[in-house]
Amino acid sequence: MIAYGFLPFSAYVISDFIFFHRNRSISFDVLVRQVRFTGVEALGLVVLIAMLIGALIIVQGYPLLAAIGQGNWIYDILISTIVRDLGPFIVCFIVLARSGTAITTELGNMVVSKEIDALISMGVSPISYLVAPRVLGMVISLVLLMSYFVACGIFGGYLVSNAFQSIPVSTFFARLIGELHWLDIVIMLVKVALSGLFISLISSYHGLTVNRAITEVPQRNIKAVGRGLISLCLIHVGLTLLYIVLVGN
Amino acid sequence: MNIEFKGITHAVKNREVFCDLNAQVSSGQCLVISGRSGCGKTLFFSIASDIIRPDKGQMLIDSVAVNDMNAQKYSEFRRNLGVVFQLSGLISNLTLEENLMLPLNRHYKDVSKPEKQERIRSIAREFALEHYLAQRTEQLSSGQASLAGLARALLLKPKAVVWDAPMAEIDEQWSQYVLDLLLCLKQQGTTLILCSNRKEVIEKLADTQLELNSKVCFSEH
Repeated sequence: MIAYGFLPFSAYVISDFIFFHRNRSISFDVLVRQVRFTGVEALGLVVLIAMLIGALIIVQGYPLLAAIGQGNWIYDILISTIVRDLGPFIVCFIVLARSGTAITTELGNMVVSKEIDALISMGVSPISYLVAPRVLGMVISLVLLMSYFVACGIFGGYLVSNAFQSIPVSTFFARLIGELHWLDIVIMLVKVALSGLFISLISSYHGLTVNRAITEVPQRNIKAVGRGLISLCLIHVGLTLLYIVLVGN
Repeated sequence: MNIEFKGITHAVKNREVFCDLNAQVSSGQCLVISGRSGCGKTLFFSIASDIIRPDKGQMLIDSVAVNDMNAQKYSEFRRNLGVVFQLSGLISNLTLEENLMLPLNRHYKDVSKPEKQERIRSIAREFALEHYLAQRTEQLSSGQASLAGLARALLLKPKAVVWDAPMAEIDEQWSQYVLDLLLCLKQQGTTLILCSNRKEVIEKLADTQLELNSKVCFSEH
């Protein structure tokens, strides 16, 4: 399937993970490991970055907006950055840099050490065993990470906003939710789910196209990160434009 | 299991390695593939274990071409073919037990976990690997990894075994044990295809020897 190129490979993987339950006897452990590595072990990094960004938006934005008498716009800015645009991009970029490269390296090394051949010889499909659970795991993990990011980013923003103006928690969140459009959540979820799908497909594809030599692994990694980044930009810009068309602003 | 290679022609990067190669091995017989380094032994191993398909020609299992098998028949073929790699081919991020569990989970979904674990412990004992079951396979020595690769191949009691460079990594004492084991398997009707230049393998086990040269020709042993 690899020999036919990225699109047939992706179609095959997607059809395989739709029927994931058929292969769960061999694939479930890989799915759990992927969610643990991408969705749980990256938690510290994501929480730190989310709180810093939430705090920075308030530190930089609030005094400026307050100076022109538009302090309430800070909720709008928090939503557009943390929930809709910057937040999903940062989370996906962290996952591309951390888990995408790990997938390419791991699968590339498995090709070189004949582990993929061994799976084939046992009648275990490398797509069902290695790729489909990683793709599914990556999508689940990105949704999880994005939830942490939103929670921590907004909480970080709230903590810092108290330094400028004491606002009760209930008021802060009531105003924030008042500014939130349901499409913000939908666009955020579609962005991270699609990004997870593409990052994992691109990383897996490049890992499995390693031929024989260990020196190909870093080369494939560079290609995977480059193409992953392009696909992230296209997904995020495309969906932001769609949001603007649907909601305006 | 009768295995027949019919008109196998295969090129690697425009260099023809096999040209119209024909060979056959029946149940309880052993075919040894030998020849100098780079002559295509490992390539033949990959074709015999159906990891790569030849450019032309086909492999027949009990007179049925592998290419023509339906999914169920192919799965059965995979279950009945034990493949042992020169570099063990164990999955490095799994423990030895998880490695051995993989083919059982693939082919015996209905068997209970304790039963599978008992089967694993039993074969691990046979190769003195029972204390390493919880270890990741990258922590095993190359000899132990080779034995573990053999254990994994024999776990499903295959009707045929294909082995690339048998005993290349195994010490003398274990080599003797493995030779006796292969001889025993052969007597029980298991088909063997071994890619090796080792004298003791050829002398003790080979019924047919296929000597690969620059382009394939073969001689009966």
